[in-house]
Amino acid sequence: MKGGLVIYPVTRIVGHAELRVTFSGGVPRAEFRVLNDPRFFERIVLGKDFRQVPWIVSRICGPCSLSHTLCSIFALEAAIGVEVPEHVLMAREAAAELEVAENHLVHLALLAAPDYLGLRGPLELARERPEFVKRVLRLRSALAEAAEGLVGRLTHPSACVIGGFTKEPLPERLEKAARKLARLIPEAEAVARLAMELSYPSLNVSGERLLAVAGGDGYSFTGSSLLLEGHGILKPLEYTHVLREEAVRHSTCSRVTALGDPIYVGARARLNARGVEHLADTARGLASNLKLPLRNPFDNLKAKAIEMVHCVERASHILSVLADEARQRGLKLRTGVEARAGEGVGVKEAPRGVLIHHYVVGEGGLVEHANIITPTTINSYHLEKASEALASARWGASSLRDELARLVRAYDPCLGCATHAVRITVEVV
Amino acid sequence: MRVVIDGIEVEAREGETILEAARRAGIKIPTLCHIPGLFREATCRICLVELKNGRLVPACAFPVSDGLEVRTATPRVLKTRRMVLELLLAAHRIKCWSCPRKGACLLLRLCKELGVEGIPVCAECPLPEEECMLAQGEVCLGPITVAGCDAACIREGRPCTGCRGPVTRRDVLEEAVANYRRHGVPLSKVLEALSTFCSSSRAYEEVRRLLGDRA
Repeated sequence: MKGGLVIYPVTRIVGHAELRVTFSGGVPRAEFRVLNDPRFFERIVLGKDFRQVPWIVSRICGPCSLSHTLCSIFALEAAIGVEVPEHVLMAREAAAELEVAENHLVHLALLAAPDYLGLRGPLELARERPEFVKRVLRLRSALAEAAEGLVGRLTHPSACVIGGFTKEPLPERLEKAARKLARLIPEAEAVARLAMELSYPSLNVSGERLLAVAGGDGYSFTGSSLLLEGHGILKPLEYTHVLREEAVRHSTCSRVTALGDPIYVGARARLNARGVEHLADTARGLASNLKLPLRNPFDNLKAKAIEMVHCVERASHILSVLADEARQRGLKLRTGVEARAGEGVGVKEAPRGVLIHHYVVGEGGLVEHANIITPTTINSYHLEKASEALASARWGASSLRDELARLVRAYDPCLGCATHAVRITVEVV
Repeated sequence: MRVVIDGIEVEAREGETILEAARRAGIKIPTLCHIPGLFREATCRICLVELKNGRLVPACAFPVSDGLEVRTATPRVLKTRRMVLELLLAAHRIKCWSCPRKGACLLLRLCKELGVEGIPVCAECPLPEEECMLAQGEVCLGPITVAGCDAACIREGRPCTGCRGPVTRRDVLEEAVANYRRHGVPLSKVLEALSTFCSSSRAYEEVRRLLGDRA
């Protein structure tokens, strides 16, 4: 540990990464290296018909496939000027919540929790607490099943298209899913309670700016604008003025800063931005002892636990409202789409934070420009700063290596999404 | 008498076959040609199992004897079953879109279990021939895409976009070309759609060559 330490690979995260911390002259320096190969999605969609884009970009990520699908749909609907009916917005919000709950659940219970229970991973957890793991898996299946009723499947959702949904979900199926989710709220609460009661290290990253999606109804995951701490509301297209994206040498993930400061996105930023008053009942009860704003990156896990319960409750509510509407009036889940030139930015709260998709559609409906900024891309610089803070506070401690790995996991990075930029140097001889 | 199947002791009756004893014990052995009470000629050979002496015998016809030791899923058994399935497929006329088994294909189920490719998504498509996406004017890649997804997209009302990659069997492709022609879907559109997910695969090149001649 003399001059530095390398954690490779960081385990129990989505993708491949390495954390490298060096210490010289009393100043720590951290590099978070994303090792996934560049994916070139922004290049792949160029020249393609805009209707194909959501379907292609859904492949960026397995866990948050739906977020990429929906975010690209928001961007393209803005670009070509499509207004969708209210039922579509509701169904999308419910689907987004199901995805968030599923991601949070798996991350909290299987990937992060073992750290604080003195266990080495989910397999050991399954041996030590089989009932807990079974409960988690039951809940996960129920969430996936509910999402299937709405969007076809949770990974690569086939029913989501620009303009709405390919087909109308059956009211019986919606109702059944809503009832099942409502029954599972106590189970979700039990899992969340465990995550809330674990003791986390304290840490502070100075100069951070929280970024979250604003607008939408209550504590929602879809919205119309961005809220940047210390700056205010940003219209989606204005992100280019404030967020700066640059390629770095040590990683395939670019560095994003807001006015020079590290940005944090994710459950903690959302909870700080939206507050607890709009949370669903059980989730609000869980959050009652929490003092906002949360500044400790490890508190992201608590925020996730609260959001997970909130999502189960709210999705159940929206599904039952949709089922009623479907019975009484029938749902309107599709609107016509015509190719038009235009530029649009979509913002969405993916499970791991703010996701931004930006497209320019040319005449004839072909995509001319694409830019995608994922939550992990935004968080990676913040993670480096947090690692430096942790390293300087705990340098020399034998547990530092474990603590750094826990810190990375508290961010729940998704590296397949983040790998993005590649610096190509062409030497002319 | 007692026989040992996959390490499990099973009580068996005189004159029974390995298959009957195994099924009673809840051990699954795949069958195709075997129809109880009607056909037990053991012609398809998909039910081959391995005896202790290394012999491969058809479980549906081989009689049990006391102390017989059988293993139903050794690497050798699985390899042979895959080969048997490939041979069956080679002689099979793959016309899934007009097959009465559509949506419930036994061969496809075995292909999935054993990891054999060759059958297109049409085999698991829930739509009958007259409601086929192609008949509705959509560019559906079902006829040339490897099955195994349970036709997820078609079930959600959108055409197949070929994300599982193309089938490269010439006869399947030729049938597909005839089918696209019949429904007036231009092959250039088919190739364009295919390029979304597999433009860099060798299979794509193969398909392009085959379809390209006719495009």
